[in-house]
Amino acid sequence: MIIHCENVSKSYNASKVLDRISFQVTEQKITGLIGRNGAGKTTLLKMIAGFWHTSSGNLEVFGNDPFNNLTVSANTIFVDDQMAFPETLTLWDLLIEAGRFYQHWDAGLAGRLFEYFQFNKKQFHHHLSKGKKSTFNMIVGLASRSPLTIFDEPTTGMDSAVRKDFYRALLKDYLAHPRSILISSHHLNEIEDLLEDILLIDDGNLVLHTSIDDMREYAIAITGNYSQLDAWINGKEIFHKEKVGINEMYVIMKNDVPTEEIERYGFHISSVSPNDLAVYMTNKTRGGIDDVFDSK
Amino acid sequence: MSLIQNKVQKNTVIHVNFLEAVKKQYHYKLHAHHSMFGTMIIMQIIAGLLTFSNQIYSVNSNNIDITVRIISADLIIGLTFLWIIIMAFQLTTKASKNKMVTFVTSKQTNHLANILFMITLCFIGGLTANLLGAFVKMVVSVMDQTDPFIYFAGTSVSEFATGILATIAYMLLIASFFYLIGEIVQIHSILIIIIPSVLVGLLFILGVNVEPIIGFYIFTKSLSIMLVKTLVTAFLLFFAATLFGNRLEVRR
Repeated sequence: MIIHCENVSKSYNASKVLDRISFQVTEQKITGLIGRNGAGKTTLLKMIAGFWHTSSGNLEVFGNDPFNNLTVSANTIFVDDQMAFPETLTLWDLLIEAGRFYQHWDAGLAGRLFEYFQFNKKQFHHHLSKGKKSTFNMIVGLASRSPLTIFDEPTTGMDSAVRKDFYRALLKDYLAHPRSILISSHHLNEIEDLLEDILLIDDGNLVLHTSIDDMREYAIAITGNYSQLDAWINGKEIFHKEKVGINEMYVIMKNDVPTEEIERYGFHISSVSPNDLAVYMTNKTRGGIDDVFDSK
Repeated sequence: MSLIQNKVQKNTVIHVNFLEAVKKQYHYKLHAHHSMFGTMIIMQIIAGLLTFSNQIYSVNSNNIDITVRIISADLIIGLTFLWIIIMAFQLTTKASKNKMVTFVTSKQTNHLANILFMITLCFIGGLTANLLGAFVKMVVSVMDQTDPFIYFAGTSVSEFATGILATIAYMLLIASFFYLIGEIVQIHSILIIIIPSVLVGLLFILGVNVEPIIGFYIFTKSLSIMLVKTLVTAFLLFFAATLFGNRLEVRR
């Protein structure tokens, strides 16, 4: 058992950030933690890493309460854009030090990635640009080969070429040296091909925990005559509906109705990408951003 | 998805030995603070230069004028004490703890590594402060050699050794005290105001006499007893410091 999360909640200053989250990670997989800004992704990850307490519930990582636990710390690395390093050590010094702490550290990989991304050995971490910091932190995270590797929005500030390289590097190294990876992002469309499982979080609640394949089949998009479709969807689980064209409706609903039935009505079916599904399942806004600017 | 189907599961949970972890953290801290040793040396040299211009006493009687000039390592040692206070405090800050959490740590390994680090600083600081003091004395004695009526009362080796040991012991006492205060203060920022206020209140307003407490350590005639008193107290203060702050969250 790698992560056991049972009814875990987190409150901070009277606001509930996470509400009774339950899930398990039992195998080495790449799991994406997807959600809007402020959904609770970082909170969950920092509790798993042992940085923060849970307010209630039972959280175990490698069979231990992760808070203040040396075993969990030795088997976990938390990578984000705020990784703290001493200002007095150069980038190369930091790689050497990291190598002393992590049993599975691959110095060769670290060195090659370091050169590939064109770092200077004598540079200091706090002098790096935002994107370069993220890139360096990513190198540390990958080369550590920690049994549990956590990436919290690791691509902050990275340009798209570097992002692509990062995803590819992550995948290649993961295939050669499997481990449990948790990667949080709000760019599901970018990392979709990388992921095996998904945890979808919305407003502190776990909305979905499924494989990426199942998520591709989870919902379907239907278009058809407005009044006909409107009548038909009555009572069904709808994630999104909108009027399109002159007299048509576009609906996204759960995929639990046989295809033949839908086609008999003359409706048109298409698939829904995980990214779109995630957006619709976590959509909160009434109206749109334009309403802010339209004068009343 | 087909890419990932054939991966092999490997169960490789790493188990770390507590003392190994402490050792690695200790070395990390030494490496990270390497510039602090340079800072200390500079502070000591400045104090050393200031020591050259100090206490001169004159005594006159019928036919004899006596001028006494006292050179001691006090200023250098005093500044070194200030340095160790700053170092001890720094180790208790959130910034310092966040840096440890990046790699492999627990609250307890961090405390122990900090303590070993401070002990190292005390040894080095105590040694260099006294050596520099001896150097200053030597320079003064050489400078004034031209006058035949100079009597130079030097320092014996045992006095010198006592000086070094005493400095190290006092530094350990000071370091442990301020490390403890630093850890307590981390619990709540309001304590930064409360604790000094209480101390000021006790000392100046209520006139509580701290001489017995300080005298307990300073006015001992025997070196070995003083060492025992100081080191035991330092040990207790360090131990007390490890009891605080273990529930604090990091990377907030």
